[in-house]
Order: sequence, then C-alpha cells, then structure tokens
Amino acid sequence: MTDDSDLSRRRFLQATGSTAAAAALAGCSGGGGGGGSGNGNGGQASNDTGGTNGSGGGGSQRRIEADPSKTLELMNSSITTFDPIAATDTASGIVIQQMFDGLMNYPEANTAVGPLLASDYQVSEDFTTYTLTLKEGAQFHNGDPVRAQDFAYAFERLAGSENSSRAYFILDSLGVEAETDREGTYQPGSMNVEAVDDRTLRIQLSAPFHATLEMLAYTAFAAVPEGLVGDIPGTEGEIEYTDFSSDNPVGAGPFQLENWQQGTEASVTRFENYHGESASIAGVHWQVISDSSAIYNYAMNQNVDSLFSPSLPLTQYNPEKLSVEREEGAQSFGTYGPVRNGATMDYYHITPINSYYLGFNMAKVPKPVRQAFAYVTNQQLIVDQVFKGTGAPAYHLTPPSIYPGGAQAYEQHAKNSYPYGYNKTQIQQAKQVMEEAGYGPNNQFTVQWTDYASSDTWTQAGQILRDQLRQAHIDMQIQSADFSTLLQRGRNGQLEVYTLGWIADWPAPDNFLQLLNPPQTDTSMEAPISYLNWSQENGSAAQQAIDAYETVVDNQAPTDQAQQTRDQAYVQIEEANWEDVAFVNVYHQWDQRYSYDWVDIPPYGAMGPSRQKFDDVRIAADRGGGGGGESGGSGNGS
Amino acid sequence: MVPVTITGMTIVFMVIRLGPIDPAAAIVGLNNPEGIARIREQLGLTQPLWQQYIEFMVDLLTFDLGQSWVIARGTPAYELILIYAPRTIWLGIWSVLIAIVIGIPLGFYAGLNPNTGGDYFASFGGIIWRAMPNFWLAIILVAVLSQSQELFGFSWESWIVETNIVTPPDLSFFSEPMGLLTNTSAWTNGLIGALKAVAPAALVLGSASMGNEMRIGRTAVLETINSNYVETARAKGVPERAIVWKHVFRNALIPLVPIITGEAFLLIGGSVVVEVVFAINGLGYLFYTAIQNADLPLVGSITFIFILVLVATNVLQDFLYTLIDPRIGYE
Repeated sequence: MTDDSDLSRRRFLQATGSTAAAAALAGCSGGGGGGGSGNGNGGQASNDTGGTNGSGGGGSQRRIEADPSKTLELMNSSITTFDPIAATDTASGIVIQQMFDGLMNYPEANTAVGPLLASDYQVSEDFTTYTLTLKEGAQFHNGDPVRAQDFAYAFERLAGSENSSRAYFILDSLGVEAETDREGTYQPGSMNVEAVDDRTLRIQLSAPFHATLEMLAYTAFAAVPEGLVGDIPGTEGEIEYTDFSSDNPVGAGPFQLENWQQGTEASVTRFENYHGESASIAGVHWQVISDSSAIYNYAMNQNVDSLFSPSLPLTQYNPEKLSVEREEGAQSFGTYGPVRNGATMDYYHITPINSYYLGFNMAKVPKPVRQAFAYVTNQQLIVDQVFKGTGAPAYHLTPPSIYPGGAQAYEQHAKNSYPYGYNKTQIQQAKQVMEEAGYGPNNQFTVQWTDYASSDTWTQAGQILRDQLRQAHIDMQIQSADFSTLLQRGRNGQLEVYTLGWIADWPAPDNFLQLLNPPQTDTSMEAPISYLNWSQENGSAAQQAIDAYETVVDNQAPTDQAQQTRDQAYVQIEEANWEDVAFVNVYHQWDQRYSYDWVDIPPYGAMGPSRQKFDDVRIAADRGGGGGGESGGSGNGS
Repeated sequence: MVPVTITGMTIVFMVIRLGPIDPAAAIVGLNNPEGIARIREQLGLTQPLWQQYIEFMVDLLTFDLGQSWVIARGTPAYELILIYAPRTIWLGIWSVLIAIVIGIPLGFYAGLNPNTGGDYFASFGGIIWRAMPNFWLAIILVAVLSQSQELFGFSWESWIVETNIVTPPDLSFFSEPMGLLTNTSAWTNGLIGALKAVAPAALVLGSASMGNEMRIGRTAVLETINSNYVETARAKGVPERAIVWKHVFRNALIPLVPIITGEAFLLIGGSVVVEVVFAINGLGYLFYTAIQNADLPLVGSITFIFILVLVATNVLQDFLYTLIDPRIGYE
C-alpha cells in the first residue's frame, strides 16, 4: 500500500484546507505568475485572462495546433459530491472548480486573486463593508442570469444549510455579521449579506479581515441559482438535493456536468454561454482510480493526457529521469522521461502553499527531547532520501511564497538563525541537550511516534530519526494510524509525536500560524486546531507566541501598515516555535505535473492544480502518435 | 437466518461506532475542528449509543438502508451498491466459472490418470497457481498486458475490441437486453468488451480456487475410483465410461460443492485487492473505503447484503447436494 499513501495523504490534506488560497502578497508570488497573469489582474477590470498568453509561452515546449473538439483526459480519486458547500475533498473540488464560478478567482491558480463574476468592488473605510458589482450578462448552465440574489442565497446555504461542511468559512474565517444563539448555532436568515439590486451585493463583516477577497475565491462561495435547493428555511427548492449534488449541479462555470458515476468516472462539457471566453476544449473526463499501480499503468497506456503529482506513485518516480530546463521563482519546467512507454513527458512543478511537519504533544514530551528531535532532523536529507527530492526543505511553517518578505527572506532567516543546524544532522548536540537534562544510557526517554497509516514515507522518515535519536538516549516507537483516527487521537491529547501537513484556506501566514497559537492547541478544549498543548509550563516562548498572535488578530485590516505589523508578528511566532520546538518543520511538497506532448495546460500557480480551471487547455488534433507508439517498436526486449 | 443477521449487524455497529474512527472527522478533515461538532449533530452521533443502535437495526431490518455518511454524502446506500455491485458480480461470476471450467476437469483428468506425466504437470501447475499470491499475480498481469506490444508484438488493448487494461468493465449493454436483437453487433461487442475487460482480473481471482479445485478434484476422484463399489461395478463389467461419468464423477463432486460455494462468497466479498489493482472499483473496494471512513450506513448495508448472500449460498449449497447425491434429501 506504499504509494496509495501519497494519494490519500494528499487527498486528505487538501481535503482539509482544500483548495482555496492565494497570496495576499501578490508581489512575492509574481515569479509564480507565469508571466502575464500576475500583472493582468491587479485592477478590477474585466475577466482578462492575462494568464493565457503568459502561460502559453511559458508552459509548453512547443506550439500546439489546438483542436477544440478534444476532451481532456485526466485521473481523479473518488468524488463525493458536486455541492460546493458540502465538498471537503480535493477530488470533488477539482470538478466543482470547473462547474462553479464565484465572485473572485485565482487565475490559473496563481496566488494573486482576481475578479471572476464580480466586475468591481468597493470597501468601506473601516474595511468591514464590501460592495461588489456583478459582471453583466453572465448566466447559469440552466440559462438563468447570474444575479446578486443568487450569491446571497448561496452564502445563506453555506452558513445555514445542514449540508454545509464549510459554515465556518463564512461565519468564522470571513466573519460575516450574523446572529447566533447561545450555543453558537447560526440563526437562519440573520446574515448581513444583502442583494441591493440584481447586480450589487453588499457583505457586512463583523471585523476587518485581510483575506476577504481570497476567501471569496473559494468555490464554497460560488453562485448557485436562487431557490434551486430547498435546504434552508424559506426555500421550497426546485430540485431535490441529491439531484443537485450528484446529477444536476447548476453553476456558472466554464463547464457543465455531463456524466458522473460514483467511484468510476466523471465528465464535464464546455458551457457555450460562459460569461468569459468559452473553453478551448470540448470537456474534461476524469477516470476514478485509486490504486497506485493501476494509476501508473493507466497513464503509461496513454489513457490520460496529463498526470498530476499526487497521482504518480513515488515508487515509480525516478529523479534521474527529470531534467529541469528552466526555473522561474517557485516554478520549474522541464522534461521527464523516457517513461515506460518510451515517451518523454513535459514536466512542471511548483512549490505550492503547504507545509508538512512533526508535531509534539508538549505536555507529554519535554523540551530537551523536542530539541533533540530538532537537532537530529536534517530536512534536506529527509526530503532527498524519503521523498526523493520532490519538495523543498522546511524551516518555517509558513511556506516560502507567502513568507513575510518572500522566498529570499525565508531562506535567509533560516540560514542565519535556525538554531538546530541548517541542513545538518547534529547528533552530538542532541545528546548534549539530553544529558544536560539528566538523561543517559540508563535513563532513556521513551516516546511514541504516530504517522498516517496510508503512507510509509513518513514511517521511513521516522526510522531514520529513530536510529539517530537512539544515540541521544531517546527510545522511539513507531506506530501508524488511519488519518481520521490520527486526528481523533490528537484531539483527545493521546498523541506524542505525530506527522501532519497543512494546506492553506487562504494564502496568508496567519492561516498556517494559527496552528502555533498556544490557546488553540489545548487538547482539553473541544476543538483544538493542533494537538500541542503549548503553554508556559512547557515552553518559555509560549507567551511570545500568544502575544504575537494577538497582534495578528488585532491588525486584520487589508492595509500595508497592518500587514507590516502582522508580518513582524508572523516572524515572532516562527521564532517562538524554534525556541520551544512545538513543530519541527520538515518539508514543502512540490505539486508536480507530467503531460504528454500533445497537450498544453497552462502552468498552475502556488494555489496548486486543484484550483485551476481547464478552460484554457489546448490539445492537438493528433493525439498519441508521438513518442509512445514509435518507441514501442524499438523497445523489443523479448 | 434472523439470528445470524442480527448478530452480524450488531458486530458491525459495535466495531464501527465503538472503534477509533470518527466519521465526522473523516468528513471535515483537519482545518475545521469547530465543524466536527456540527457534523456530528447532523449525523445523529450525539444521541445516546443505545438509541443509535436501535435506529440502525430497525432501519436495516426494514430494508431502509439509509444514506452514505462519508463516501458520497447524502446518496442512498442502495444507489451506491447498485453502481458498484454489478461489476463485482460480473467479475465474480467469471472467476468462479474459470475456476470450475479449468480447475475441475484438470483435477479429474489428473485423478483418472494418476502418476503420469500429465498428472504431474497438472498437479504441479495447480500447486503453483495456488501458491501465487493474488496481489502479485494481478500486478504482474497488468504490467505485462500494458506492455504486450513491446513484449509479444500484439496489443492486448486493441485486440478484438478496444478496452482498457485497468478500469471497470462497461456493463451498459445489460441495461438494454433488446439490443441483442435490434443492434446485434454493437451489443455483442459490448458483451465481448465487458468480458475482455474483466478476463485478466477473473483469471487472477480464479487462480487460487482453480488450484484448490484441481487438487481437491484429483483427490476426490482418486478416492472414489479406488472405492469398493467402483471395483464391484468394474467386476460386473460396467463399461469404464459409465463408471467414470455415473459413479466417480458424481461422487467426486460432493466434496467440491462446499469449496465452490465457499469461494463464490469469497469472490463477491473478498476481492478488494484484485479490484483495486485492476481499478475495477467494485463492492469490495467500496466496502473497504467505507470501513476506513466509518461510513456506518454504507458498511451496514453492504454487510447486510453479504450476510444475505452468505445465507443464500448456504441454501444453494444444500440444494446442490440433493441434486448431486440423491441420498441427501430435505426432511
């Protein structure tokens, strides 16, 4: 079950943060823009897909004579629903992304958010009232015009429907003004979102929030025709809920659903009356496959046009076949091959906004032990040996592309100040810190390591660390648990050392650093966000982290000044974590893509492939032909 | 049957609800700890356990299979089963058939010609088939078929009808049986395609039972052929042909019946690994993922069906005994 592993790990991780996010810091992701897109959408202008040109030149190795009658063939893992407010998994999110449009969007998954169904917006002086103007002439798949009322309805569903898995997006993260009862349950209809007229939507927040526009780009906020489903009080519903969530998901996106067979396949076709430029391909078809060897064989039989990294089994990945030809910021372009069928595939990767780490239950694991872990952890070594180099070593929880000051500042801060050895295994120091605390050969500390059962990559990482830690008088037991079991045990405070990752809800450091806000890590509370139990009793820097996070919370306005204050606080939290070792950051996983040379998909930005709309993909009239068939002849091993 | 069902369902309920997996956690994932409480309430997990248990049992026993919690939230469980089950049954039928059609005749041949070259060949082959693990054989077969062009110069994918090596068979031709008359060639192509698509998987799945049936068939034939009444028949001058078909064959089948019916059940429920490798995504796979995510209604429904099938195969087994051996009858 090795590599399934990666798949489910990814699926779940994204499931968690799921697909949203984009850099509030448009500047630092500029490199990731693939050229055009970064600049194109600064203004609130029309939906100019600046990315198109930039990506065409940047992404592909050769010009393709595009055939608009072609369908893009991809793979996916099991899809659960098409209801944008119910979906929490990436597999569903990918398809929903094609069918539903929201007010805002990350063009080609770049971190700079741009308008999609909005044409303009205004913010009040206290940054709590957003007035958005809708694009003219947009319509849903069923022919209805897209109006502000549809958004008000969609938002109400998000907050109040029993089908919603994401109510906290609008009530807590975005913080739209609303009434709740004593138990904190949302009172239906009390949300302060108003359709002023058909084309004007007014959203009233209870406090300023710097990532409001980014949040609105999440598909959970996508337009749904008013009254379509009767799952909120006061609406009858035109169609049954299951009809909407599985057969007839009506959105305003570039594609509409053609067919879905649970656990088998799904396909969408071009929506001709799309409000933007209609899609350059006839549709997209996803075959649902979960087993890693089946995925690999399906791809090698050229049944897909492109293979995204969670799909390619790590066991099949051979770093020697990769030749990177060009690097632009966080993006890398090149070729990979020859693969088994003889073809050389176009390769692309980006370091997206994610972070994988070791977490400690600080109430159970004393500080010297945590520091010993940090000393022996050589991030580069683990990335190379366990993950075959498919990621960037991590020293901060905040990924480089959204780190205050950008990737360079990240690098510099880590190189100059990381206290436990930058790319070094420091067993001697680990031993020393343990011996100073009174541990020795006859007084070992026993600690339990728990990783996801679905992945043996982390188990390998654990084995490497275990062998090194033994010399530092730490006896580590390795154990695996299913993902949901892991979470539950974490919430109950039963874990000691655990491995997890985080993918952003919105592309700013506070989305990550909330995990390091000590009060939110108390597992005796009902809903801890990480399982650290970080307090002053077990860490001298806890107060620093608490204060810094308060600064972040108090400075949420989307202004430069507030951002500067936040940025300083972010770094303070990272340093507090270094001091107390709540997390040992391990790596930022690449999002890789392998495509046959007859297809040209624009490179996705740091939001990752699941945030990309496939309306600008080009597929050659003559598929296959190329490498695969011919080399078949030459490879006559028999 | 009723006690079996009730016990089975009780165990399912206990394992899932008292086990470590929280379906609400499986739904919301990591980023949304506050959401878990909300989802738990939606799913009715906040009620007392005994109340959940009673609801669960009453719903199932009245054939109200409920809606999936995690795998496809809100979709009725029976709809999901309708999608996944036909593939597994299609695969199961063929793997049982392959085992029967190849395994039993080989075993009988070996039993009738003991200690000959043919016997050694068949017996040894049987042991090898039996010994090869399913998952290994499946992976090898997929890899070989995927590269059939390079290895053998013929492309399995495009042989007779174009099919994929992995992915579920297209069983849509079944839904329009009239197609056989109205659109014969397309319909038969559909049939052949569906057959070809599951053939490698069926071979793998049938391989173990094929070996089993071969070995047991051989032993059974040897035992019968050396028994007194066969000798008596031979002494009376009954032609060898009649001895073999009338006396040996029928009697040798008796020990094979429980093997075949037992395997038939295994194939319906226990083909997860092979289904996964061939990406057939059938009932076994659904069951497996449902358990992993503590999707109680779905696990319950599938188990319920498994239990019904189990009971039905037992009844079928008894019925087959009476067919083969007239000495056994219903009292």
